[in-house]
Amino acid sequence: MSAAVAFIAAPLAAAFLIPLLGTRASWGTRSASLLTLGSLLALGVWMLTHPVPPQVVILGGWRPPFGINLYVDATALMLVTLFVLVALAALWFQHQHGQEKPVSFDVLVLVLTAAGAGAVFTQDLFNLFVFLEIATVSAVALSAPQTGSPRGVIRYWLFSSVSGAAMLLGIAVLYSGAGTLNLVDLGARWAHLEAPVRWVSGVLILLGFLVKMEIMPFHVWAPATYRRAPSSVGLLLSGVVTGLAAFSAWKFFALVLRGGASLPPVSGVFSFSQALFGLGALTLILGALAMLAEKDGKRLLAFSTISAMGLVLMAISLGNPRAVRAALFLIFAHALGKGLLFFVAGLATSRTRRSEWDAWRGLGQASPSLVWFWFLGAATVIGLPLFPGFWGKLSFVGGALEMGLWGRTGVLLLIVATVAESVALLRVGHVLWERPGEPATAAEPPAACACGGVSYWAGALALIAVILWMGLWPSVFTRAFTSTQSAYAGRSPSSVARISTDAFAPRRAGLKQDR
Amino acid sequence: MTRLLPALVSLAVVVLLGALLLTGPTRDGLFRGSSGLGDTFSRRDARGPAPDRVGPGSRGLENASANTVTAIVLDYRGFDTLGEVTVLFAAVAGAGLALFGRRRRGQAPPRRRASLILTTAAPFVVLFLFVVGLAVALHGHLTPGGGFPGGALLAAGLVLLMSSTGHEPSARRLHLLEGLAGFSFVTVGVAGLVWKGSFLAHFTGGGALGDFWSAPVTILLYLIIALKVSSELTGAVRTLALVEDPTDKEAP
Amino acid sequence: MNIVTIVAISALLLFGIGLYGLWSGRNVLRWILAVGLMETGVNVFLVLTGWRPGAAAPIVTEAFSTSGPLPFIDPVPSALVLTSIVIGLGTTTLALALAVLHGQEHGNLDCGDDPGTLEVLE
Repeated sequence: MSAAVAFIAAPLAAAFLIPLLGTRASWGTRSASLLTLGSLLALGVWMLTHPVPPQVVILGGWRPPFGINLYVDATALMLVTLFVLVALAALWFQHQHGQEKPVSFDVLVLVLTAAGAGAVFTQDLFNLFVFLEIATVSAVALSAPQTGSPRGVIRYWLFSSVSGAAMLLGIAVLYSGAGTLNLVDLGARWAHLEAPVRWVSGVLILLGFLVKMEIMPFHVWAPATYRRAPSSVGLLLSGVVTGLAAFSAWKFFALVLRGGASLPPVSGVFSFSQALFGLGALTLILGALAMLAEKDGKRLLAFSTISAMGLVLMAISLGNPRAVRAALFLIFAHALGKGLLFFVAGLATSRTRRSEWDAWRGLGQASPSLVWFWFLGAATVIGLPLFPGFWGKLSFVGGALEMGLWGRTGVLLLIVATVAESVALLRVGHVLWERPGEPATAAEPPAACACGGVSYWAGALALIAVILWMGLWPSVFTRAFTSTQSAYAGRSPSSVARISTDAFAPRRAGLKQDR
Repeated sequence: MTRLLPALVSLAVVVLLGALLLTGPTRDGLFRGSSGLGDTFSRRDARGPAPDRVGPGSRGLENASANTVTAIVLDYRGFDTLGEVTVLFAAVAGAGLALFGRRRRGQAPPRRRASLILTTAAPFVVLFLFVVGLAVALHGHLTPGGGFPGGALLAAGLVLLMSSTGHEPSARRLHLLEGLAGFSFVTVGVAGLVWKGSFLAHFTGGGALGDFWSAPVTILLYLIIALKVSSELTGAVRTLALVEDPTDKEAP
Repeated sequence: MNIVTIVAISALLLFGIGLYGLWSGRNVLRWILAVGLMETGVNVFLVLTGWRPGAAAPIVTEAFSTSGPLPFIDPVPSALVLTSIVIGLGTTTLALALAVLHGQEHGNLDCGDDPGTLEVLE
């Protein structure tokens, strides 16, 4: 499974080489970057259809605690393939419908994809930090607006740099306490550390993840950034950046914190995971309510992302098998559904030149497919039955009801938030569908069709295909997520801890002997 | 009052962190200055026969570069370094992307001539910077330093050349150097995958400890990094220097 | 009060001064400097975790034998700090570009609130 390295090495190599074709975007640079992502997508699908048991890939030829290793299983591959798909859709959209961008746009999308793959695969805490920083740097640069105020993106830079510094401080404290950087190794030593070391490092490292997940007190940058950034970047931010942050947070939570149970409770009442659960619940409900009040289409989608990540954080902090499965399902559903929603929002914005959703009135009359895409995306995010979000929310309810009063409160909040989110999203869909302005102020009658031809359908249909597959036939995903959960919890033959330790043996790791 | 609250909060954070980390047994545990990982790295048996790098029963860790920090940066944790190089690359490309399409100075910017002192001294200083930069980069496996400081020195020379002669290095050449260096890093990684079965594994054996040619792949990687860092830093200075000074125009 | 405590307190103070710099103004350059201070504080702390009294830089010489007591500091934090310095350099470069962008857009570096950012829950 050394082929998994290709998901990191190939986009990086392409990113280094593509600027040699010229600084200005040309036919060659565009097709080179699309081709790279396309062949990675093909590789991902091929690896998923030829499943092998979960494996550890050793980098640099040194065994895990000394070198860096990757853990590759079906869930990680699915997630990385999803990132590649989202990146491909975003790049395709930008080439077809976006403004003119220099070649560094394509380059940064490739770098972001590599960072997503690295953050999902890696089993080393510092390496995870490096990949999160790569993702942040490229995401900040991508969302710098071409026109208009860059204040949102400056705040994005500020929040992520400060949280990066905090996270590094946490890693320093943790390293000097535990003397290792491998996640599995850290998990084994975590319980023997002094309580202050555990508290400081746990809080500081989680802070880094929370900012990148847009959890409530740290989300301030997100709406303004989403509003000013090109729509394709909104797709990347909500599909790739939050997804990789959420998965890394879960990895840290599951391998090192052991579900938060090993942290000493504060004054006996309030445990660490309960605090995270509270933050997640706050984010879920306030994000959904903010969607109701929001007039701007892209900011609406930003709040939808924030709300969805709140639910993911709640599921992560519950930590039982069903909740973890819910978190993984929600990450997928969110990326896919939000991809479609941003696709429509981007087209509507580029056609009407306004991002207030009220101005999109009647676009659906000219091109009904826009409305269909919007409703499909909304159904995925909301979780209508037989859509991916449904399986996530269903299994969240199952997991939460196991956890007593906290869980029941969470379910109640989820219902309220889902209602608010549905109202907000369906209202926009209705506006899209409505006839243009009998009383309204439709400035210009929409032209014949938003767009047509292959270029229009290809990106959306790829996302829809995955949505339908995941909604109608979730058993493949459920199996993968369940085995991943038990592997990370150390309860299966292919447990992460066991095969990471065994990776030293050459027959397991598939290392060739020195010639 | 508006200044007091932030000060108090920051002070509270510092006091809290200090109280948690710098008292009693926690402090002794944190700052004992050794760890299982670090001690094992320090005890590399670098003077043994040609290293058998992979597989069980290898005698611990062998890397022939005398500088243990370099061995960690480029060998044991070489994957981090690939990421580090990528961060810098993404940041410079991102600065270019952020400033794309913004108004720039015309083809012939109104530029003051460099002063006599600068133009006279520049050749000597530039030569010195280049020689020292290359030496630092090439001796990274023996002495403190390596590709990053070496590349920064080379970039300082290039920037000095830029400001003394007024001649800007062409973006295309900088991109060429940067891209080829980055691609070579990945290629070295793939070569490790092909010959040693592991991405970024060093594919040659080591020599005698302390010799110049003791760690050939380390030298190669640090040379690549030095070229990449120097072209990237020069590119960053060039990108930021070419945009219009916002304080020149009146506020709208 | 030995040297470790003094340096550790200085590192944390640098971190705190950076934090204060973030909260006490809205100028973009001030923010960039403040984040730089915070990163420096963290880097000093990181290097310090490898420090050991009387130990040398971890460069192997002929005099060193692998069996005796180690005369070296812990080399891992030194390697990590190299990476984190370069990452800090990268983010600063990007931030300077964004500051130039802000200056071109608004004619100053005072990053106040975007009109309309305070509408909902921000």
